[in-house]
Amino acid sequence: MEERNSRYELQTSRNGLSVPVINGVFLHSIYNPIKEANTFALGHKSNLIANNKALVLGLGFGYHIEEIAKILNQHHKNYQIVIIEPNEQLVFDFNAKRRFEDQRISIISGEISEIFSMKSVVEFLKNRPSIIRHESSFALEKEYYTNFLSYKAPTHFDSMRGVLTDTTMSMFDTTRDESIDQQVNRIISSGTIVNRQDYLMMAFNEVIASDNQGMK
Amino acid sequence: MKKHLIINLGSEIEIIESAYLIASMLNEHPTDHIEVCVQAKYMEVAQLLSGVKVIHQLDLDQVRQYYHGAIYSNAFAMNEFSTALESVMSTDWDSIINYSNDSIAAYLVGGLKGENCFGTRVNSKGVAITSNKWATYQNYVASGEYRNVIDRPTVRNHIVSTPLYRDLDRIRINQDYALVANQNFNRIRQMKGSTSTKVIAINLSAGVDQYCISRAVLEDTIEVLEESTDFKVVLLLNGENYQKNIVNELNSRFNNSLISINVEPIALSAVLSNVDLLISTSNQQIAVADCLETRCVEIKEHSERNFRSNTIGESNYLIYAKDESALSSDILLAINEVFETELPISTLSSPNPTYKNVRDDYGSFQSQIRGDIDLTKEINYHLGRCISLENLGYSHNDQLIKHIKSNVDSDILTKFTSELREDLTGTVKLLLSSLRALKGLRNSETNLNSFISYLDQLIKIGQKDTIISGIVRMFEGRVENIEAEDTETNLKAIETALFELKADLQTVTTLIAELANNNTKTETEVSKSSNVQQTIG
Repeated sequence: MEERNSRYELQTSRNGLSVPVINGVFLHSIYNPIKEANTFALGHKSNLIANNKALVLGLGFGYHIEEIAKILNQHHKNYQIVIIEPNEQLVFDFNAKRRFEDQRISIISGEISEIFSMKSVVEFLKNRPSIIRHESSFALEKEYYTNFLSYKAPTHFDSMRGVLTDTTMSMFDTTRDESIDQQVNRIISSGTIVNRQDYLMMAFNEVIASDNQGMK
Repeated sequence: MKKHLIINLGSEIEIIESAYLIASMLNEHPTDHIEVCVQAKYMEVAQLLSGVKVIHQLDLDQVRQYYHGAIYSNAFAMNEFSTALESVMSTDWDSIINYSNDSIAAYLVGGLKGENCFGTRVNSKGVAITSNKWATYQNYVASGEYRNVIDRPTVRNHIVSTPLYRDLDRIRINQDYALVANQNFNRIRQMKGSTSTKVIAINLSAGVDQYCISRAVLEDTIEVLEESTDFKVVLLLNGENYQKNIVNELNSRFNNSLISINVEPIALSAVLSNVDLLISTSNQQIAVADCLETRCVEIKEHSERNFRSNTIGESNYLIYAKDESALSSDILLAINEVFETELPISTLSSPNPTYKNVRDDYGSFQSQIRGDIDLTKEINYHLGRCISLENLGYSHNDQLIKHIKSNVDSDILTKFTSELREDLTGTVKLLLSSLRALKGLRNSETNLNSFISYLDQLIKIGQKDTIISGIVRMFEGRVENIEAEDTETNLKAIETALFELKADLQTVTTLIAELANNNTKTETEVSKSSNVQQTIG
């Protein structure tokens, strides 16, 4: 994080608004951040009209988010914006100085695997939001955002442990470091379904394997 | 008081059909406690089931979405699954019923705490085991039929050894909606000047086969009904835009005189219990109407592979639409039969096969009353039903045999029995070869390959959809049910299954002999004869 903010400062634009400058990169226009944000949001208007959910990669200092929210508000009864921002210092400063009043906007920070472990984020992503890149933020954190966009969830029980509930762990055998596929194959190749946990795993496997079919 | 869990992860229609079983179970044991487990998307439909204490919902689509999305941890899918089943898992059940006969439930049963399991379950070796001969019939015979010869509610009640009682309250009717619906329908009846006016509801929803009644058919049918003093038409919608468009188009044709009702799911049973007859495509609405014992005319697209009725109520009609131009006449004819009226019909002959649900001592069946008839298929259906029921323990249906013999052209019957005999002979040869090979196997293991080969050939016969194939599939089910650990017990059990197959085939032999009796024409004479269409059943 220190490296991330080795040269971090907040400057004031010509029209008196705060603009973060990180490693020499201005996250917004130093002349008129709101005008720039408005143009940015209009560039995504068609997507915002078609979809009431937006995933924004980069918080900046929130000007572009507010313009996006205005468009969503004009075209949808309900909308939701989730912002992914890895720079926790930036999030802290933003909340201290500006903060979104709109409860439909949320900022998520942290390790990528942690973000994908959050049920609220997963529920949001399941609705296939429009993905909007804030280019200057994206360029600064290219590796983070690229990893975020290409994330694949780990499949072994050991790496799922933080997400598995107590109920799930009591119903399934998650004690071995294996994937669902591996466990199913192990049960099948053993030729014996030993206990309730095995039966539940086989039932679960039938759910995910295909549409529910008749027995035989 | 016993606690029963019915796992029904099937379609909406299957959920509604389970009302027959639930009502019958509660009729036998009124204090028993019944819970059901359904797919979350069918929760609304499940709430219509009368007598159910708790409905558990499992969101299969959600589990699949989590699992198949690469970015989502599989843990979310497992959490969704386990949370939905937590309460089901922690309960000690007196019986668990795999109603929908699916693979998920068949495994799930093994993970639950149940005294008895009805239907199909998977044993510790991973083999599908059925709880009784009816469950074997459902899993191995009925599943391979394009047209079920024994209706599903009858089979499922037998699986649970519960008689299928009639005249029971199967579907919940919301009393507030019932009161309003009753008042409104009385007003609708009086619009034609009489409280005895019959209300004919036309359901505008598409069928599960995606078939929709065309506007031309609707117009022709409505015109005749509205002109009659005996009937008043009510259009039923469920809020879909395409239905609103149809209503608007029909209203412009009938000077805004038509009554349409947008039926919320919670009000569906109250509305359907107030109509005198429902015309509908094949969907959950018609299944609800059937459970309420409201008369139904079901319309499906004609297809060789979609030959199933979704109603079992006596004197319901099922029309397979082949030719739209005659469909309105078919519908009106059915209405005339139900109410003994004389609505004008534009075509006396129609190619659309029309069936009437008939009830005999053995249950419900369909009898073709109109339309293009494939006599061989119809004989197959009726005799298939007769043989299946007899092999499942019912008495021999002498009446049906007599009826067929006296009403079907002897040439057609001779041709039919000759083909059936040929099918039977081939199967019996393989059966006897299998028995001989089994005997040989006991003497020397070198006969193993020949035994397996005969058994394979025998089981392959079951892959068709014929009377003999159904009997062979029942044998296959019996063999699959063998759970013996040692070879000798296994062979003994297979031998028993082969003898049971022999006994089942004997039913066909007897039947052929009965049909052939007095049927003395030779096959050559038959081939020269013209096909005469007859109505049977």
